[in-house]
Amino acid sequence: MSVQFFEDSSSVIRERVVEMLLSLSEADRNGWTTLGIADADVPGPLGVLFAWVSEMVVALGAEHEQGAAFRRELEEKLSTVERQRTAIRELSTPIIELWESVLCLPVVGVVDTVRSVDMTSTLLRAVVEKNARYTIVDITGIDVMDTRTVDHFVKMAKAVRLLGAQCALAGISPQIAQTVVSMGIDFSDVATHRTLRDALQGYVERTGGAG
Amino acid sequence: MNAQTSCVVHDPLDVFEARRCLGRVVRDLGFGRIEGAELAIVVTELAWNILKHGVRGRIDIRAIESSTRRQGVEVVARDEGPGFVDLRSALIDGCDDRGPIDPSRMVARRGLASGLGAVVRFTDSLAVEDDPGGKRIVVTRYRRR
Repeated sequence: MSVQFFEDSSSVIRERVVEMLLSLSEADRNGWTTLGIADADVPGPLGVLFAWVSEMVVALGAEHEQGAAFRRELEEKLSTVERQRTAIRELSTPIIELWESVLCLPVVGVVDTVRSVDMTSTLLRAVVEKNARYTIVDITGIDVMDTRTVDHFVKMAKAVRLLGAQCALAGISPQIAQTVVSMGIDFSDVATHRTLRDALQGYVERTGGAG
Repeated sequence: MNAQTSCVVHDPLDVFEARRCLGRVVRDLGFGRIEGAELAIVVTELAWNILKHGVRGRIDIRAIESSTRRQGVEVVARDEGPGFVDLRSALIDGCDDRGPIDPSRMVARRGLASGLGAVVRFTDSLAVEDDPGGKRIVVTRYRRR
C-alpha cells in the first residue's frame, strides 16, 4: 500500500515525506524543536493528509519537549533535596542523650570555623538544659581540622567544665593528632578516647552508670 | 587536565554545593582523602566569607599544573563586597581586616575570625585582586602526597 502511495504521489510529496521521516528519526539527537516542516504546498487530498501528519509530528515534538522539561525539573528538585539533607545534617548539630545525664555530639562532614562556633553554643546550651554531667564529642570520620578549630574544641571542653560537666573527645584521627602535637595545643584538660564506645564505657565504669 | 567547575554562592546551601563542585575536581585529579578534606575546609571558609562579607558571589574551581608538572587546584572566590581595608590584618587569626575581634563577639559573628588563616594554612598561595564590582580571592594548592 505504501508503495502505491509513493508511486501516486508527486515528487514534492515524496521528498517531503522522506525529509520528515529522516528528521523524525534524528529528532532525539538534533532536538525536537528543529522539526520545522513547511506546510505542504500541494493541493488535493494528499496535501491535506500531509498537513495533518505534519501537525501530529509537531504536537508529538512539543509533548516530548514537555516530558523532558518535567524530567529535568524533577532531577533538579531531587538534587536540591539531597543537598539540603547534607546541609541540614551538618548545620543542625544534633545532640543525643546517650545515657542519663550523658550527652553525645556526633560530628560529621567538614568542620569549619562557622560550624565550630555554632556547635559550641549548641552544646553548652544542651549541657545546661539537660543537666548533663558528661558530654562526648565524637569526631570519628573527621579527617582534618584547622589548628584554630582544634584549639576551639579544647576551649569548648573547658567551657563545658565550667558548667559543671566533663567533656571527652572520641575518635581523633591520626592527622588531627599530629596537628595537636605539632602546634603544641594543650589537650591535658580534655579526656580523649579512641571510640565513642570507649568513652561511654569509661564513664559507666567510673560511676557505675548511676550518673 | 581541564577539570573546571563553578557555582554561585547566594545562600548557606551553596556552601555545600561549592564543596560538591570541589569534590568533583579533586576526584578527577586523584587527590587523597586528607588533601581533599583540607581543600574542602578551604572552599567552605571562602564560601562562608562570601556570604558574610561579600553579600553574594561565586566560586570557580579548576585543575592546574605547576611548572614542574605538579597537579593542583585553583579556587577563585569572587564577591560583591568591599575590598580588604588591611589584608595583612585579615589573615591574622582572631582579627578581621580592621584589627582584633573581641572574643565575646565571636558567637554573634558565627566565626573565630580565623577562616582566612585556615585558608592560608591549607594552600600554597593566596592573592586578593580587584574584580569588576567587587574583589576576588585566588588560592592555589598543589598535591603533596
